[in-house]
Amino acid sequence: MELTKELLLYPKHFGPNIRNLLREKLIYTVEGSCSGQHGFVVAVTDVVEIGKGRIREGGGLATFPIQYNAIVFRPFKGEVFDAIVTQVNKLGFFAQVGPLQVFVSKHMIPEDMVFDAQGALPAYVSQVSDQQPQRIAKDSEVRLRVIATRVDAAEIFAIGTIKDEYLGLLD
Amino acid sequence: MARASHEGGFAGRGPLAGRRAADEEDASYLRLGKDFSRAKCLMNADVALILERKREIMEAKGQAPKSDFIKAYKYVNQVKQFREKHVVVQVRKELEAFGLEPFEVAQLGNLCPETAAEAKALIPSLENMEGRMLDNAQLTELLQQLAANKQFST
Repeated sequence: MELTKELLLYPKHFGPNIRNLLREKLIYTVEGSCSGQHGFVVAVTDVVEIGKGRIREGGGLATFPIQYNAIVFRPFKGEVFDAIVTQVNKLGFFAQVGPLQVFVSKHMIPEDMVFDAQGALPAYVSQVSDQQPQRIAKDSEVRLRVIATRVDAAEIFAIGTIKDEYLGLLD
Repeated sequence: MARASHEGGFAGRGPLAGRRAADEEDASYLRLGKDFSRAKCLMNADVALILERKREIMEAKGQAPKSDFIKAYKYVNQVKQFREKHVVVQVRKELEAFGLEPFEVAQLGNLCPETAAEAKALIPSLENMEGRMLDNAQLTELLQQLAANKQFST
């Protein structure tokens, strides 16, 4: 998930060290940020080119176009992930795929899995088999499919399903 | 290519054009949007290697990693299927030699399905894309190679 992107920066510190400064400022600004178009920027891998700065009219600020490569994480509809469950409640559960939070509603959990709030950790328990029951509780690893994403200005939120073949709890 | 012509179909003007294109993104048909058509897809194991190096650099500089970085770092280390660098490189080579799309390479490497049927259920584009020579026997063979590497590295 690598990508080139252009970014504008406004440094006030002109000087011999400007390139390093720009580089650091770029990493500081974009890493951990998130846009609907490109997803989460996880890490900047390298700076391809720092263009010529343009001084803005009326002020002393300059704008530098910067091209860089970064690892981004962009969830797509239909993509399958292994996620870590973070929270379970009677409406469904939340799981985390790195920086992305995914909600799996009760309706997207197979019918044979029942919500159980009795134990120390609330969990969805499957009671079909006579063997060890399957429990989805906090910190379980589940394989889920993203069915939709909602994109805010600074956040991506996804809903997922485990109601399909080969999806569900992982050992 | 099928995808190019598809995008052309949605390139109409009007306020809804951009939005509709976004809605049409669907990984099961390998529609990832224009911005990602040139992007390279990485497996979790690739990302783990890169982030590990990044973490070392940051540590040397005495910078504290941000929360999203920590989340991503923890996640890839928890779910990655291959550990050592040479294994990751080899797996990637084997997958790419198969004529798969980059997105499918990443998905296969992340999910390591056990059977051809499982692979196709999880990654529908393996079946949806027409005009490709990919039968179940070949796929099974590929998955066995994956499984072998996986055990080797854990």
